[in-house]
This record gives sequence, structure tokens and C-alpha cells, in this order.
Amino acid sequence: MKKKIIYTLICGILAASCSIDKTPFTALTNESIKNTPGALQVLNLGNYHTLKSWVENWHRVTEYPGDNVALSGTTTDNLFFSYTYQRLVTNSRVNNYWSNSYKIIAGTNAILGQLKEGESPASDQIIAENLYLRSLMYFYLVNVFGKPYNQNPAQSLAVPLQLSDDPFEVLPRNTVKEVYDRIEADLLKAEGLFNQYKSSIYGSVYSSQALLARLYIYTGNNQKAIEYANKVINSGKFSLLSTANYTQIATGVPENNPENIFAIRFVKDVDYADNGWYTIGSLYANISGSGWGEMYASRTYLEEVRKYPEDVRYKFIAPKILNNSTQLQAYYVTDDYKYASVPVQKDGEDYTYTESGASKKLIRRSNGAGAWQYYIEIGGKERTVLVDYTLENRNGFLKYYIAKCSGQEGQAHLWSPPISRLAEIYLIRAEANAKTGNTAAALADVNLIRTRAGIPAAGLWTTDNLGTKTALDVVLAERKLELAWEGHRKFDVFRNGYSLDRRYPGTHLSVTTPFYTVDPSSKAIVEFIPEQQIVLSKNVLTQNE
Amino acid sequence: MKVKATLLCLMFLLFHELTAQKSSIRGKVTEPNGDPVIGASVVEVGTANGTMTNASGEFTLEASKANPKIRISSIGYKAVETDVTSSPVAITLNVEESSLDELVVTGYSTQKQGEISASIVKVSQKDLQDVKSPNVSNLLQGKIAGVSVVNSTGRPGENATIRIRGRSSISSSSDPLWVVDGVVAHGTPNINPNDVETVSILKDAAATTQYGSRGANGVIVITTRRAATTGAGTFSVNIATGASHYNQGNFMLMNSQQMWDHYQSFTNPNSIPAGITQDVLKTNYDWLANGTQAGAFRDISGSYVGRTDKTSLYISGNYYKEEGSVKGYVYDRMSARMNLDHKLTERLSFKPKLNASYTSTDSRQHSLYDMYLNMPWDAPFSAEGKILNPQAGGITWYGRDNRNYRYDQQFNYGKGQTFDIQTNLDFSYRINDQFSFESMNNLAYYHNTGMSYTDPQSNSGLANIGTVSQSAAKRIVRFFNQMLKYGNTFGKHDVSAFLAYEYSDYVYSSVGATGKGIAPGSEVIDNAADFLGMDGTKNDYAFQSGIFQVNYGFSNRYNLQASYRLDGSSRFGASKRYGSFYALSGAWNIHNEAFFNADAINNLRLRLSYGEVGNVPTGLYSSYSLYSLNGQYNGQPAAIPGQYENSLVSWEKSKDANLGLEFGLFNRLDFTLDLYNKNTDGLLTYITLPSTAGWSGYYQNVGSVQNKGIEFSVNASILGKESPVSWNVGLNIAHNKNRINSLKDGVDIPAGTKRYSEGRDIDSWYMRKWAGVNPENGAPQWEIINATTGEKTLTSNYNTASLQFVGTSTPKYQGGFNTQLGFKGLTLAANLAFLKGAFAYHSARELFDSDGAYPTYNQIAFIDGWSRWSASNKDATHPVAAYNNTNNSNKTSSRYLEDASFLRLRNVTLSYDIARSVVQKLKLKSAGLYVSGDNLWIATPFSGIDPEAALFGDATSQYPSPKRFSFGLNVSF
Repeated sequence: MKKKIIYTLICGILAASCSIDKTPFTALTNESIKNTPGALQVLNLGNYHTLKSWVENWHRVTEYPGDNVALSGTTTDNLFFSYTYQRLVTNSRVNNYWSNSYKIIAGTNAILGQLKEGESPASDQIIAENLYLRSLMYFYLVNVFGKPYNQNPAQSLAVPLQLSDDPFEVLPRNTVKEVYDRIEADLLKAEGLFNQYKSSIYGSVYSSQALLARLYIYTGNNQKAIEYANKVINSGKFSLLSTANYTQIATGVPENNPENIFAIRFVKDVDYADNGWYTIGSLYANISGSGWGEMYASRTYLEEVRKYPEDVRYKFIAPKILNNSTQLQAYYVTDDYKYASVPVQKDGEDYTYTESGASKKLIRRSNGAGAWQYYIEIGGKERTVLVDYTLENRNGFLKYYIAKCSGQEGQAHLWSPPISRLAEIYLIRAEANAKTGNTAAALADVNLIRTRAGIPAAGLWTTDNLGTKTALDVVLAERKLELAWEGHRKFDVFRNGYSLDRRYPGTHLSVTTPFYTVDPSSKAIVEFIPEQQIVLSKNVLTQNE
Repeated sequence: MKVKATLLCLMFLLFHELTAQKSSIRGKVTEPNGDPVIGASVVEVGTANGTMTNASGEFTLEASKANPKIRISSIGYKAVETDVTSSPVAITLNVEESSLDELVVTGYSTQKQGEISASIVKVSQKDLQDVKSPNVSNLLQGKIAGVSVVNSTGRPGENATIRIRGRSSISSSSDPLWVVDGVVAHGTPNINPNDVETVSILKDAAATTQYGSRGANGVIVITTRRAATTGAGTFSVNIATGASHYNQGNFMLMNSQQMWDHYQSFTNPNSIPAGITQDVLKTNYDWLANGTQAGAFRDISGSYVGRTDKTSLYISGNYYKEEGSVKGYVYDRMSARMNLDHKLTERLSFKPKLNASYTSTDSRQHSLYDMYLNMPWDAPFSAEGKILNPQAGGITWYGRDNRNYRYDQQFNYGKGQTFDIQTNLDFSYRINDQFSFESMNNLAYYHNTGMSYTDPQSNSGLANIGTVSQSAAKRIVRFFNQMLKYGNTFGKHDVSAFLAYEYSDYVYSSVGATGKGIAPGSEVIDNAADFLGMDGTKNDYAFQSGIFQVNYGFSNRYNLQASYRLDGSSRFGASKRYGSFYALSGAWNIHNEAFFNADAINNLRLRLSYGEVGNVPTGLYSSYSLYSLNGQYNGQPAAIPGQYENSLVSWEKSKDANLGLEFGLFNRLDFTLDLYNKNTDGLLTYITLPSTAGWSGYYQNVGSVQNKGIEFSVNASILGKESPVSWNVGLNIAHNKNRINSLKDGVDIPAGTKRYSEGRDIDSWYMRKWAGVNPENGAPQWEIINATTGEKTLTSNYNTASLQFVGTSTPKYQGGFNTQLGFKGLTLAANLAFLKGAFAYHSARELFDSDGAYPTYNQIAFIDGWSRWSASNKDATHPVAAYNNTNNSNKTSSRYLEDASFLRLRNVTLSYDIARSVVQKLKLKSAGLYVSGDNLWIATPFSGIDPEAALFGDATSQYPSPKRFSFGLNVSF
């Protein structure tokens, strides 16, 4: 009997096989998506979520090769190679930028593959948002990895146009023109599908029109650029911030900024990891103990923005004064592009300094609007001077911290980077007008931006005070001032066929083979396709020169 | 009626007895010294009649006939067979000395060494006593052929990495499976080394098939201590103490003057910031020396073993405390174990076990990263002795990042506590003499809590006015094994078998939160003024299996074993969940054959095995497309595609053949030779998709890899057992050859700086090939291979250099050497480990040997043979240096691939067992003391900190295994 009980027990245990079905707790699966209402919206937001990781390296690959920034040392971080134009096929920043761009593209492809136009307003809206996001990705990809549109776009290679929801499809690179054509077609389609304006932190008909305006100015279609700039400007949805509120571009909540057309939303605390150490702003400043504070405003930018003391854009520069010093210094740049200074004393409108035991004055000239600019005669040359209290320096580079990418809602390095804002649209219209000979209209838009910046009337442009400058020159100069650290400068210079002037202090000049100026014809202006991607594609992708 | 029936039965029994001439035999079983042997089994040979000896060693056996033949056996003694002619009978059992009769735990069962047909190596407790560590994993290094044990970190309490017979998987885990007292553990178990009775290493499929899917990388079976068969209870106390010293190996950094000289060698002095003048030489601060220490450790353990005729008990407690050789880290562990065997009836035994430990860590650890990188020109203190804060500005600081880690470290800290408990409610039921039922039921609960404190005054706490985080993680592992065992002897035929059903599951969950705005000193999150962050996760897996194994032995000459296991894992898709695995093995004890007549050869055995084992992917949900839910946009939930689905992903299977030869001479010399060939098919890999796919990748079975190898070990008692001086020497050496036989579509799979390619070693480096320094101009050079012609040229442009195969990290051979010299109570033992022919990528040199690319990091001091190019030194190892060098000479290439061969003195111990006469006067059973040193010496060409750790992982800012001196005392009474 006992045996029987035991045997029954054993058989029972052996027969009672337990379930070993396990599904993940932290992710949806194909099945759970099918069974979850609203899952598509969650996936749609997934693409916006990825924008937050995308934007960090987007900023580094678009802004650092410009002339608004000066790095104060070397770094193990591969951003160094974008900053110095010493391209590297294994640049991890570039690879990461590529990966996140395509991650968003694939995310949009997955949604676009599941939806058909015209089914419902809600699904049309999602299609339109995803077409916009995909276009935005391709717009920057074609500019980072392809030559400017004015350099043989039908021949030069950009990036592969990945449009289907098939992870196993490996495509070769398309030409610059093919990519631009696709972006234009998608944005035009999106423009017609939007049926709801949520706010400036989501794709909208206006963000699509803003990107189209930019696309047309990049491709030289000036009439279209004006047309699309006007669509946005005349929509009445957007207005420029007041001069007094200007710093809200950085510090405000993005959807409350009337100027924003599309910005990537970072939420206070929630989107603020590691105390802000790995944000965009952390490289520009050390705020409340957080941030590397290693890349500063370039001297060329500083000289421009300090021409008029009223210019509110200088509020985004935070010079780091050494130990609350009260000693003034006249900072100038030597022939080998290093900072140097002499201590000066203020004497009314003048500054005096001592040279070989003799007291001398800085040279003083009017800026034409009630303020002065100062110069020093030193080393056999007259040099521009910026007078500041003694500043901290790092390896001799003065700490002019950049505050434009920090400080949203008071959090040290929180920032919701704007992609399109109204000021850019005015300047697109100005540029198109300048290029079509409509100088007065061009200057009017530039002056609108300058007035808003607080520049006195005497500092505005007229056809008479242009001198040797062209209308395009002043538009581009204004773009540099207004849109600095928003990822425009490198493209603005090269797409117009200009050379980038980097003759200012920064470690881009202390490398072994520095670029003092970068020509638009230089191979270095396009990034290498990441070697890892070429390997993973099994050499379907080809390398840039 | 009832009475009648009983009477009838009695009469029947009586009649039966009379006809069978039954006899009753009484006797006593003792050791040679007269101590009784308790619990010895007494069996009438050829029948099922049997009994056991009582607490006085006495027994009464009802035999089937007069003058029966009986067999007396007990674990640890040589069995005796004798014809009984008179009763009572006196039997003396001798302690088992032949290693062939030694019992080995082979997983679910126990076998004699002489019967084992698989490749299994046993390590006994005394062999684990030399090295000092709170973890068993650290104690196995250099002791077993074919087992490599690497201490990848020297931080107190961390486990070692173990590889058995090389790597057979690309992306699945290569860690062996740990089994403690029959229970499959999750990861490396937390066990007090003093509790370990034996460790068995199961190397081939014949041994590991019983663990099926989970035994692919070998199995480490630990048996904890239980009472010996005889003797009164024994208390033991072990006390050890000592100190750990930071072990820099060959890796030396520059001092102030060397750094200055390095700057003088830059070819572009104009680029050096003007602030760097000879003033820098006023400071020469050794960050590493100041952040490291002789960290003290204490290890106190006590145990009791005892046994009555019904109950045996092992109980132990341990306290271990160690300070890191890097300052500011304290590891503290209390653990206790109880193993109880209680015989409820003759048939039913309960075997509950309890093992619990409480570990706490207190970390205010100095930052190794900063200690390596900080410049000798910077000191953490001002002239007045105040800690400097360069972040606040106004301080000259030459090093990068303006980081004086000492500033924040004075305020901020973290603490962790782990409570880990394993409970077994095991029982066995002897159904009859042939069948028994064994039940193992284990629950393991692991709970970890942690907090980290960031002071409002510290740089990292400024913005948030201080933060405090708390976290808790919990892991529950359940394991059930129900087994029916069979054993019988038919004349010369021994048969044993078992059939088992096993289920185990695992669930992990964690939760954490961070608050900001705290009053200084707050350690709990409720004190924070506001919310800052949160996290939490959960995951699980389950296995279920059926196992069958049968062993057959004939006359102590032939042994055969067959095993089968059906395994199910939740990690696969529904259609591919189950895999079946089998193994066959045999052994031939040639020395027991009648025809074998060489007296000098006391042991000659041949083993042969073939079998299959499986492996599962590391991903717990590998068959699904996963849309990760840890995202949000503007506070709304968002899902992000990650892993792509493959519902057909299936078991990685290894077919493993093993040939073993054991050879013993004069009872003094033992050789073991094993040859194996392991073919792994359906290689599980996570295939990374190009980024254009959007999805990160997917799991797939892609190809096959072969591991072939030879393992040899020899143990010799050089002076023989009669000599007053004993000298034992052991050597083990293993060679493993790894080759990828096929990959999906024959296409290479890139894997970072390595690459999987058909016909090549699985650990093949793939990077640019360094071609030395151009003697003309000192520029770095790499090789270009023309893709069409194969022609090789040199370039100084890193971007155009070709990626290619440049060697492997697989050693040609590795092993260990140990020796013990004993005289009277004095023993001197040494243990060496060696490895030859593996190349490690010394990644730290990208930072520390950067030719000026990172001028604000401290740099490596050149080792012998290195020199920098200059016009007068054209034949140099190092290219020209420049400030902010951008010639990419320090980018990944074979330049930093170094020979990681080494010979290391792992341990040397001098111990003294106090003479028995003295001990007995002190009323003790035994007493001894020892001094020992770990990692005292190494010979290696590798320029880094630790060649072993570099082979297995990161070579940057390593925490090396320390040099350790210890002193200990063992007393039992």
C-alpha cells in the first residue's frame, strides 16, 4: 500500500509538468501590440522618444565643425574629430548619429507600413507626423554625409533611402539629389495630410513647411523658399519673442515659446540623467557643479555679438571671472591665434595700460550707435580688444561659457533643442530675397531680427550702409549671430560656396595638421560613412573620399 | 478471525525460516584503533538482507543461511567481504587509501573514482585552503587542467571568471554551471569556502549531459560538509588575518619629471599652453600610491560536525571582513550554514539545509580612473592641507576635466546590503533495497538594497542641493528535483540508475528612486524635498526537464554509463522550446584484468565518452520582437523597437567526444591524459543588424565551432610514503584549439575588435595592423592590403589602413604547477599558474601611451625596450609625439596587441600542524597555524597591470588582484 502511494506520487509529480511560458515585462511584443488598443500611438511616440537620443550627436556633428565654438583641450571623446575636421572612420559620435537617425527612420517606416492614407483623420495625422520625422532625418543625413547641393547633386553620393519596413533590406547609397527629391515629395505629402496642430513639440503642417522652406533655400529654389517661409509666417501661429524675453529660447518650456515651430521636448528631471553631465550644454559650461565646460564661444562670434552692447544674444555668453576678480584685462589674439592680455584700468570711456613703464590708452572707435570698440597696438599690429574682468582659462583658452543650450526651467543643463523657429524662417526669406536681388526686402527681415535682438536703430542695415558687403553677406552674418549653436552654421557657409574661417583660438589649431580655413571643395566637409556600418552592410555601403 | 490469520502467518514464517536454515549473526565493526564505525552497511552478499551498525559499531543481521558471506562497507573505508563461520564476529575496517575507491560527486549521484567513465576532476577541501578569498570561485585557479580561473577584479568580494575547455559559444554565456548540494544555482553562488567538502568539475558531455542545456560550459558541483561517518562531535575554529596590497604589475605611470621630459619631446612646442612652465616640477604627486593601501582582512569561522546513529549535523558560522587595496571600500560578510540529516525511520530521512549570508559594503572608494589619469603636476591638497576644488575655479589644474576626485569623495558615499538565503527541504525514502526516492526542494531568496548619498556641498550635489537614492532588488529561484533511484548487484554485475523530473524558475525584480534637495546626512529618500528619478524592472525564466541515467559495472573492470535529458527552456519560441540530449561513456580498468601482470602499474584505466549538451541564449526573451517600454515623450509612454523576432531560434548543441587515460605507477605517480573534441552546432548569436534596419538585431543559430584539446596532469609523491620527508608535486597543462567550422552563408560576423570567420579561432582579433614607425620621419604606419591584388603597402593615414586578422586571444597552453614539502608537522606549499601564447589588447594604452594625443592625462612610463623616434633614434618603437597629436597613432590597431603569456606564483603557504602529543595535552584534537602569500610574483612581457584580467575583459583602470599576506590559526576540539 505504502509503495503504491509513493509510486502514485512520483507519477503524479512527473506528469504535472509546469508551464514554462514567459513573456517580457519591460517590452511589448508583436502579439501584445495587436491586442493593445492605442499601441500605435505608443510606437509613434517611440520615434519622438528616440529624437532625444538623436539630438545629442546631431548637435555635435552639425555644430562643432562650425566657427561659433572653440575647444580648450584635447579629448578622448570622438567629437574632437568632428571639431577639428580630422575625420575618423571609427568616429563613435558619427556612428551613433547615423544609428539613431536610421532608428527613427525605421520606426517611421514601421508605422507608415501599417497605415493607409484616408482611413481616418487620426491615422492621416500619424502618417503626416512620421513623414515629417523621416524627412527631418534624411535632411540632416544628406547634409552630414553628402556634399552640398550645389556640388553636382545628381552624381555625389549621400545616404541610402530606406523606405520599407524590412530590417533585412540593405541598400546602397543614393545620390544627394535623390535624397532631396524624396524629402520634398514626402513633406509635400505630409503638408496635405496634417489635420491637427498639437503644439510645437510634435510634427505639424508648419514644421513641414518650415523644413520645406529650408530645403528650397538649400537647393537654390528661392521662389519656393519665399513661398514656404510666407506660409509659416502668415499662419499667425508663431511670433518672435520680445527682446526682454529673448533668453526664453533656452530657459523656457519649448511649447510655451511662441517662436518655436518644432523643438525636441526634454522634460524637467525625467529627461535629465546623470546630473546633466552627458547633455549638449554640459560641454559648454559648468553650472552648479555640473558640466565639463570645455568648449567656449569662439572669438569671432564674441567680437560680432559684442559690437553692440545692447545685443541680447550676448546674454547667452557667461564669461567665467577668476575668483571674482576686479582687475580688468584687455584680451586680444596673437598672430598664432592665442589669447593674450594686458591689465587695464578704466578711465572714463578709456582704458589705460602700462607698456615698458609708460602709461598708454587703448585705441577707441565708435560703433556708430553710441558705444565704443577698443583696439590695441601691440606686436606691430592693431588688434581688436575685448575688455573683461580677469577670466578663468583652460589651457590658455578663455572661459566664455555658452548658456544657450542650458538652463531650461532652471535645471542646469536641461535643454529642448529647437529644430525650426520663426527667426530662421525670416532669415530664409531674407536669404532668398537677397539672392533674387530684392535687397530691401532682405534687409527688412534681417533688421526685424536685429531690432528684436535689441540693436539700436543706428546699428540696422540699410542699402546705404552696406558698403562693400552684399545683402547675402549680412543675411549670413545675422544667421550666424541669431542661430548659433542650433546646427546651421557649417551648412550655411558651404552650401553658399564660402570657406569657413577658423583662424581663432581653439585646439582645432593645435593639432598636427590643422585647418585654418576649410574650403567648400575640401573632402573634409563631409563625414566618413561609419566603418562599422560599411562592415555590417557587407560593403554595400561605400566610403566617402 | 484476526488472531487466526496472524497465527497462520507466524506459522508460515516459522516454517519458511526452518526450511531456509536461517541464521542470525551478531558482530562489531571497528577502526584499527578500536573506535567503533557507526552506520556502516552490513549486507549478506547475493541477497537483499542488510542492516547498519549502531552507535557502538554493533549489528545483528538475519542471514538466509548459515555461514553466509557478508559485505561491510562505509563511506571513507575499504569495504570488506568475509565468510562468517561464528557469531559474534569482529571486523576491522581500514580507512580507504586508494584514490580509485575515493568517492566523487558526479552531479546527481556519487561514484567511485575507479568507476567513473566521464571526465570529472575532484578538488578536496584541503586543496582549497591555500588562497584567501570569501568566494569559492577564486580558489580554483591553477588547480585543474583545462580550467582557467581569472580574477578580473581585485575588489573585495568579487567573483572570478571561469572557463572550462575554452569557449564554445559566441554570444551565449561561457560561464560554467554551479550546482550546490544538487541544486542548480543562478550565477555564482555565495558560499563560505570553509563549508565546502569537495568540488567536482564536470568537463565532458558524458558528465554534463545530466544538466542538459545548462551544462554546455562545464559544471562545478559543490558538496558542502556533513558529519563524518564516525567519531564524536568536533568543534573547529579557523582564524585568519592579513593585508592586501595594491598590485600594479608592469604598469608604471610617469612622475613629474618624466612628464615634463615627455612634453619636451613634443614636435610642436608652440601648441603647448603658455601656462605649462617648469613650475610644474614643484609638484610630484603620486595619485596611485596615495589612493591605495595595505587593506586588512579578517576571517573567523567556527564549525561543528557531529553524528548520532539517527542524526548528523554540520553547522558553521563565518565572519569575513576585508578592506580594499584601493582605499575607501569595506566588504563585510556574515554567513551561516546548517546541514542536517535525520533518519526518521529506517526508510525515511529528512535532509534539511539552510545557508544564509548577509553582506554589506561601504563604499567611499577612491576613483581608480582618476588615480591613473591625474597628472603628477596636480596635488589634491593646497599647501595648507585643504582639499582643493578645481571645479570652483581659480586653481591651476593641469589635468583634464578639472577633476580632483578627492573633493566630492570626502562627502559622498554609497552602501549596499545583500541578504542571501538558500533553504533545502530534501528527503529520501528507501522504498526497498533496490529503489529509493530522493526529493530536492530548494528556495533561494536574494535581496539587495543599496543607497547612495550625494552631499549638497559636493560638486555633483550642488545643482540638486544634494541627492539620495535608494534601491532594492530581489531574486527568487525555485528548484525542485524528484528522483527515483535504483541500484542492484547481480553477482559481478552492478547496475544503478535514476529517473528524475526537474523544474526551476527564476524571477527578478528591482525598484529604485532618487530624491533631491536634502538636509546633509539624510540617508532615506523620504527626507528629500522633491522627486528626481525612478526605475524598476522585472524579468524571469523557467526550465523543466526529465533526466534518465543508467550505470553498469562489471567486476570492477568495465563501467558503462548512459544518460538522457529532455530539456525545456522558456527562452525559446513555443515550437523550439524542448531539446533532447544524450551521452554514452565507458571505462575499462585494465589493471584489474587477470592478464594484466605488471606490479609496478597500480592503475591503468581507459575512458571513452560521447554525448550532447545544449546552450541557451543570454536573452531571456530571445524569440520575440521587443518594443522596449522604458521610453516616454513629453511624459507620455513610448515604445522603441529593439530586438527583432526569430521564433525559430533554437538550442545550441555541442557534441563532445572524450578519450581519457589514467596511469598509476608504484602507488606514487599518477598520470591523467584527456583528449577531447567538441563540436558545437547551431551556434547561437545575436546578429547585429546594420543601423539602417532600425532594429538592433536578432538571435539566430548560425554555424558551428569546434574545440579540440588535450589535458594532462601528473601528481607525484617523489620521496614515497615511507620517507619522513614528504614531497608531492603536481603539474597540469591544457591545450585547446578552437575553430569556427561554419557560419550562416559563410559570411563573417563582425564583433567589435574581433570577428567570427570560418576556419578561424573564435577569439580572432580584427583590426588595423601596426607596421611600426617610419624611420624616415617618425610617423606611425599601418598596413594596407589591396582588396583585389592582395598586395601589401604601408600608410601613415589611419583611415585608409585595412582591417585584418591579427592574432587571437586564445592561449596555446595553460596550466598550473604545485608542490608540497612536508616534514613532521611542517608543510611548505606553492602553487603557480601559467599561460602561454595568448594576445591581449592593452586598451589602456590608447589613453596612456598616446604620443601626445592626450597630453593632459598621465602617461605610461616606458618599459625596457621602448623608445621614441627622433632624428637621432630612427629605429624606435614609438612614433613622434606632439601636443594634441592627431596622427591617430593611438587608435585601435595591433600596436597595442601584446603577448599576455605569464608565469605567476599564485600562492605560497607555510603551515605547521602542532604535534599530536602536544595537542592532546591541551585537550585538543588538532591545532595548526600558517602564513601565506598570494600573487607575490609574476613574470610576463605584458606591459599592463594584469595579463589575465586583460585577456578576459577591460584593460583600462583595472582593479587588479592584490598581493596578499595572511596569517591563520586552525584549532579543533
